[in-house]
Amino acid sequence: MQPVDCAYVRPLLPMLAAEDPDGEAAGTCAAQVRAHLRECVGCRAEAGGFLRAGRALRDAVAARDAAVPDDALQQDLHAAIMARVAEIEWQDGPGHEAVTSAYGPGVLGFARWRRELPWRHVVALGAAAMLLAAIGFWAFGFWLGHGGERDSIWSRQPLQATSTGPLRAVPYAGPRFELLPVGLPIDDQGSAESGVGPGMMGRGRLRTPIDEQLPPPR
Amino acid sequence: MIPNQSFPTPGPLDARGAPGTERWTALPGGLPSQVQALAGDGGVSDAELVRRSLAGQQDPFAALVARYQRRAFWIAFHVLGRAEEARDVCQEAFVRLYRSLDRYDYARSFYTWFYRIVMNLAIDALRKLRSARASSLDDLVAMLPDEREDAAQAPIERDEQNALVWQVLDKLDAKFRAVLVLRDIHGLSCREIAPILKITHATARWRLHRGRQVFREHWDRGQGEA
Repeated sequence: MQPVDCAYVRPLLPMLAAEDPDGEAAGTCAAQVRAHLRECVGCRAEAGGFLRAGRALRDAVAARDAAVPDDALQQDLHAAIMARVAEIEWQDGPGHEAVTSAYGPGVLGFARWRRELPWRHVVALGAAAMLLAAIGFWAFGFWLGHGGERDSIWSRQPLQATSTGPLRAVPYAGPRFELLPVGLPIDDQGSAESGVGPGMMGRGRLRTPIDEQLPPPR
Repeated sequence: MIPNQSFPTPGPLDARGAPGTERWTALPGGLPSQVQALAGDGGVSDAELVRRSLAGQQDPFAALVARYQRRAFWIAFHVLGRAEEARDVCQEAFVRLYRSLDRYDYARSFYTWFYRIVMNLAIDALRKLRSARASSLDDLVAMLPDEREDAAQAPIERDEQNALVWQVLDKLDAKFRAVLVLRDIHGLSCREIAPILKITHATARWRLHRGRQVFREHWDRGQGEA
C-alpha cells in the first residue's frame, strides 16, 4: 500500500471522517487515509473536528425533534391532509358539477384557477402581455411612418368630380363617399378615382338612376 | 382498532434499518381501521396504492399519506427548522401528490418521486423564510451576547451547542443543507439523494463534501466566538 501525505488526505476528510453507513466513501483510498491518520496528529485532529461537527449536528436535530409533540401533530396533520383531498375531490367530482350546473361553469372554476395559478405563470402572462403591447406600439408607429394614416379608409377625403353639384358614387370597396364638383376626371365606364387610397379602395362608380333605387351600399 | 405499527414498505430508511428512524416511519395514531390495515400491509406496495387511488378509492390514498406523512414532515422540519412551516409543506406536498397521481411512473420508486416533491417545496419555503427573516431583527437578537453570564468562563451548555448548530444550519446554503439533511440526518446515500434533488451522483457527493466543510467552518467559528 502506497503511503499518502497530508495534502492528499485533507480534501478527503469531509467524506471519510463522517459516518458512512452504506460504505459509499470507503474505497481503496480509505485504508491509506486510515494508515496516514494513525501517524499524523494534525490530520487526526482535523478528522476529529469533522466527526465532532457531525455528532453535534445529529445531537441538535435529535434535541429539537424531541421537543416537537409528534403524535398529536401527526394525527392533526393526517386529518388536515385528507380534508384538503376531500375538498379537491368535491371540486373535481359530482359536487362540483352540481354547483357549476346551478351557478354556471365559472363559479368554482375561477376560484380554483385563481388558487392554483402559480405566481410564475402570472409573471409570465404579464411579461407576454407587455411584449404584445410593445409589438403593437411598434407596428402602429411603423404604419404611421409609412403613410398608413394617409392611405387609411378612415381618413380618406371626399372625391372631387366635374359636375355642377355633388354626385353620388358607389364605392368598389371601402366606405361610401361623395364626389364633389371640383374637377375629378370620370372615365367612360362612369368610374372616378379619388387619388387617395390604394387600388379599388380609391375608386367609385357613379350612381345611375337605377342605382338610386337600390338600397344603399353597406 | 389496530395498534400503531411500523410498516414494512421497502424504502431507503427501512432497508437500512437506521437507528432512531422508527419515529419517522411509524404510522400516525387515530387512523380508521381499514386505512391502518392497508398502510401497515407490507404486501401492498406503494405503486399498488397509487393504482387503487387512481381507480377512485380514497382509503388507498389515506394509506399512502399514513405511510409517508411522518417522513415528509420530518424532512421538511429538518430543512426548515420550524414545525409550523414543515406542517404546511407536508400538507401541500400531499395535495400536489394527489393532483399528480396520474403522472406517476410505475417503473420508478415512489418514495424518490414523493421526496422530490417534498424537498422542492421545503427548499422553496426555506428561501422564502430566509428572505422574510432578513428583514427581521430576530437573528440579530439571537447573536447578541447574553450579559447575564460570562461566556469566557462558563462552558458551552448543551442547549447553547444545539442552538449554535441550528444557527449554522440557517447560514448554510439551501442546496448544501438539503443534502446534509438527507444524508447525515435521514441516512440516505448519495445515490438515493441524487434523483430526489434531480442532480447527478457526482454533484450530490460534491455538495455533501462542501456542505460538511462549510458547516464545520461555521461551527468552529461559532464555538470560538462562544
